[in-house]
Amino acid sequence: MHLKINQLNKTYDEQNVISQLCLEVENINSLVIIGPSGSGKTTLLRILAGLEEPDSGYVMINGTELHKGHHFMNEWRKRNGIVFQNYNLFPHLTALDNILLPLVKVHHHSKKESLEIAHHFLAHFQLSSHAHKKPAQLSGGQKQRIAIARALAINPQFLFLDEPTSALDPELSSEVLEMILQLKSEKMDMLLVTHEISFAEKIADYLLFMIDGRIEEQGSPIHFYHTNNLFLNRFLQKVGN
Amino acid sequence: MFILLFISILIVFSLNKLDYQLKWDSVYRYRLKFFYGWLHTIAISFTALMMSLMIGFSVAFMRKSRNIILKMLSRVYVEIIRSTPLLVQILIFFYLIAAAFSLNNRYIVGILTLSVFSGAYVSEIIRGGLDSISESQLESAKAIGLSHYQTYRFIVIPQVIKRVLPALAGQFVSLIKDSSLLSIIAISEFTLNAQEVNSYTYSTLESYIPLAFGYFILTFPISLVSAYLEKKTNYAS
Repeated sequence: MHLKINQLNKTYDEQNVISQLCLEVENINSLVIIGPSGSGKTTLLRILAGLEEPDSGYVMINGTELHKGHHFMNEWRKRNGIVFQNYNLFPHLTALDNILLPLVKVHHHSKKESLEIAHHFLAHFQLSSHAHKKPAQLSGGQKQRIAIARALAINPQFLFLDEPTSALDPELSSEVLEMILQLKSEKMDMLLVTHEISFAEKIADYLLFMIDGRIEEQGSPIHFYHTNNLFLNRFLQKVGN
Repeated sequence: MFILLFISILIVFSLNKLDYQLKWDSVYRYRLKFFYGWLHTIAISFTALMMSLMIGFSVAFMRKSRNIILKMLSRVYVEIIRSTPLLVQILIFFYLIAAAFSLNNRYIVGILTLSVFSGAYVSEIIRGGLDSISESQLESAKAIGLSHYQTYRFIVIPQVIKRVLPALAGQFVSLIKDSSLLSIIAISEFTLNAQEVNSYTYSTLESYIPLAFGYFILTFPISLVSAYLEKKTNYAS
């Protein structure tokens, strides 16, 4: 992945959520964003995923410049997988139908081909026995794993994960974390926001620490261990690492 | 069922107490009149239901629209209709609007009035259903690349229909009973026919008991379906 961001700004209700943010990273698979609540990490992820428009600035991922109009961003979202904090599965559809919907209706695969893809991903993540269950019949961890399978089934260019385990208790979150580690081993290009610092260190090729809409610290996990950044050290102490 | 039994006992007790003998012979002669009136009521109510669904969906989407004029118009329509009696609406629609537009077929006027009246309530039911779809689902639809139309077709509408069916069934029951007010503009529906039989025979109770029974056998199955749907929807959620 090659990500370049220049002078990015985003304001909500006259409050700067992303402020003059600049970044350039390359030759990485997984970029992990950490930071306290309100630091702008989710907003940054949403801008990169195409769910939010920045007020100004420039974003380029793997040579593709983002935010060039509504149609372009819709196409961008179709090419990528997005996983939300609260799973966001469609409650009226079964797990299988949740995976089939984008394959059939957005990517225009045949029903037969879509079924093969969906069953492949369900089997790959040991979810086959839940294929015909509705989200209300699944645990939080199972729901999130289905959401990840749905995002992966379209063969995305990038996978964006917004705090995928924050709504889960530790036992359930471990099954989701294992799934994401498996994706890392498969060299999936990922951008992830998390509050699980120990997991962030395991998964990240490159880490960003954000405060008040700007990047306070960045680098490899090893760099994060040895930095003397006061804000980062305070944050790490606060979250118990 | 207990309530039904209680009401039956109460009626029988009251008749005995007043020493009132029901005489069905005179009313029985008009059984076909009752039947045709009953069929008219079904036809009027069903047509008005279909039209009120169309009006209800359109107005609900207008209410959710970003266009301020559409929003305002839909709001004014709903508030005016819901704040005035149906009887007054029927009279204004028939003697003023329909007359001004030379609309002489009272059946058409009656169906239109009922549809406009019921449409306001249906629109509020649909709007409630639309509001019950969380923003996160709409965002998820956007994230997987569904178009606006696809989002409504595959995500919003199936869930809204499921959620509003019990309330819509209740509205249909009200609509059937409200259709009795069309007798005021001499539409030959169930109630008017019962009134006419009463005036021919002077057998008030004997004319109106079949009326109550006729409405009951129309509305009770819908109430049962509504209760079943409500239970099923609650279970699913």
